[in-house]
Amino acid sequence: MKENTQLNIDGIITNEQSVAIDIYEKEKPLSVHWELRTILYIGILLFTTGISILVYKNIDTIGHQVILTIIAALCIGCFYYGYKHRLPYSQEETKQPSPFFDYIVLLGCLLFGIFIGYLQVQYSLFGLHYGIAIFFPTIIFFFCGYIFDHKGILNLGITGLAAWAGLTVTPLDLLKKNDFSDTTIIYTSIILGLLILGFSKYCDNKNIKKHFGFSYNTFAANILFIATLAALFDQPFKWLSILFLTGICYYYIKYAIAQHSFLFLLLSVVYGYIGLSYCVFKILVSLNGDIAVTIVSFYIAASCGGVVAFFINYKKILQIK
Amino acid sequence: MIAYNHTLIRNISIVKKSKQWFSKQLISTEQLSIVLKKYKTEFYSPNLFIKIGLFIFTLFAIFSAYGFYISMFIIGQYIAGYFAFSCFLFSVICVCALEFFIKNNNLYNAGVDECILYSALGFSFVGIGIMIKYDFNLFDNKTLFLSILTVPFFIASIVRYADKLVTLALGICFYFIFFLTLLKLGDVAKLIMPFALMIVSVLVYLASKKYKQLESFHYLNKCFIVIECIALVVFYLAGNYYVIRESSIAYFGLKLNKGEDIPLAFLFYILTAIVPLVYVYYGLKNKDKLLLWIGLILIVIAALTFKNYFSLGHPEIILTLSGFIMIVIAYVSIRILKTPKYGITFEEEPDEDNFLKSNAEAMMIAQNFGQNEQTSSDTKFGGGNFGGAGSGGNF
Repeated sequence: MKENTQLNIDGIITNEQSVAIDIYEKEKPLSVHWELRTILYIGILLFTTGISILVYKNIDTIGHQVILTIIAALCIGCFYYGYKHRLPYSQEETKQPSPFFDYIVLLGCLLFGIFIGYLQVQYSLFGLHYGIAIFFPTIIFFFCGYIFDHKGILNLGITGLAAWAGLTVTPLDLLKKNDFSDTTIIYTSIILGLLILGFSKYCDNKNIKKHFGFSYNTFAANILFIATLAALFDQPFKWLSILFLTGICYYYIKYAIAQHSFLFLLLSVVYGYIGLSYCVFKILVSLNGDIAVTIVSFYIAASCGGVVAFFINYKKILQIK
Repeated sequence: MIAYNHTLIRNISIVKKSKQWFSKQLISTEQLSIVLKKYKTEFYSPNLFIKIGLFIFTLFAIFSAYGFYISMFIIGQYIAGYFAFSCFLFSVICVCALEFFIKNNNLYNAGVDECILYSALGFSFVGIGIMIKYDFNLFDNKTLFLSILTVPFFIASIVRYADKLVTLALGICFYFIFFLTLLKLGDVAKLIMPFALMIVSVLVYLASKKYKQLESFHYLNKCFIVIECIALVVFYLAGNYYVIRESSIAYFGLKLNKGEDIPLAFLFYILTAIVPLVYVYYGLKNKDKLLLWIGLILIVIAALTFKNYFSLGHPEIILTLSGFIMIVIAYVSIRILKTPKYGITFEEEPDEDNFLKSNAEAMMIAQNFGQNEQTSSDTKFGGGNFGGAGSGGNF
């Protein structure tokens, strides 16, 4: 039975409407929106890849100055567009003037980063002061993020800040690039995380760009949890790490409930679970043999069941209807 | 037949369609709000990432439960019968758990139910494998036997749970059985294999199209789409030059010297190039998105096939050129199709996501209609409770 017939029988729509819907369903044109957009995207991807390889192979005949000029020109163009079309600054979230605005401003900032990077690599603009080379664009990113009210650029800024603080950080390759056995990195990460967390809390209280809190806290939560886990795995004073981990978990679960945010609940539970499992295994290793194997498989089965139950009931925990 | 609540599945499609009609102004805001209120869709069906997470955790849970069982009861020596028995036992437990969760937690494509279903099938197949002493020899009679034994399990779970991935597995299994059976003909098989596969695919496709229309198979709609997908892809691959050439060399002992070509090469070149275009043409003509998408993907495969044998040796130029051509095609088509022509349009079809974008405000109104009603009925219920408590106090 067709959906509109069902609605008609249940007395929600009239016969005329049902007939009109039948005609609409029969005659509606096929939408090739996503097909054409996909072709366009892939086309642009292939085209730019091909062009970049061509440029790379012929760099000797083109020359670095030409490329730098092109990048700079594009970058200035983007910023000019953003400056022209931006809405006045406000403490609240502003609505973007056009759907392209976001992308163009973001492109401008990315190009600016590439420009500085290119200058540094090719002509060593800042010499050996790599810190300044990173810090300078970071300030610009933060500035643009607030002026244009753009979360993507803000994230660039936060990443730059962390990079400047001695890390090359994005949530994904945080684990890959850094060797966490060094204590200074752990302490730096924890302090940086706490600072960002505090700053975001301060902004929330003062009502400054509250919607940026998500970006700040995502970053702070990831870096804090990973640094604490690293401390737990490698450093002495396990009890201190466990206490600290519990504290962060508590804070972010409360934050998640306040914000009705699933992500922070997920982060706290997953990282907390890793910490808990580590402790359980650490204790079990000191036991011996067969009984440990049985307990381990029981622990995994039970805790995975618990996690699944948690996922299914998370709406109740977050008090979302 | 189906384990999931049939009315709720039906309601999902009604609500979805109603939203589309609403955004086309075929029904009014009041009617939409009545629809949203009346047709409840209270399944637990989370977004993709949570689904993946749930799937992984459920998998861990099941396998560590199995490990727990093994470590408790049959640790030490390997006795095939015990292991086969434990597999079947867990398969049965999984099915029971699945039924229980679907009934009590309203799971619907939530990651958990799929994972339990696949585990149940997996346990059964491992159990059967142990029973017939399967030794992973792909062109053996035992493989054929095992594949045939799996078919009833697949069909039963499709009928009961309407799962897409199981349908895919059934499709692959079906073609595999067909392939292995045909191989038994010996030398003749080599000659007729591509054509036999193509004919079977056409039959499968037509049969699926026919049975999809039946009212009683309505809930299996997605499964039939998967079957059509497989049939279309196999039909193409059976005639693809690269597949035939490489598989003849690998499996049928064909030896090609330099400059030689496979028999009927010309025919297969044509099939490689033409079939995707035919798919795309009929996809557009019959307004069939599935045909269109598969056609588009197969065009890429056809292009790669030809590039593999007739390469010019300048990948960057080919990349740039093909990118440029694609941009031009897309740009021109978007320009032309801004206004609908030949029953095709660039305008987005109203669906769940972009519906929300353009109709967020109206949607809020519609939902508030419903919610007010609900809260008032809630308070009524609460009031009744209070009444009862009051009388208790009096006593």
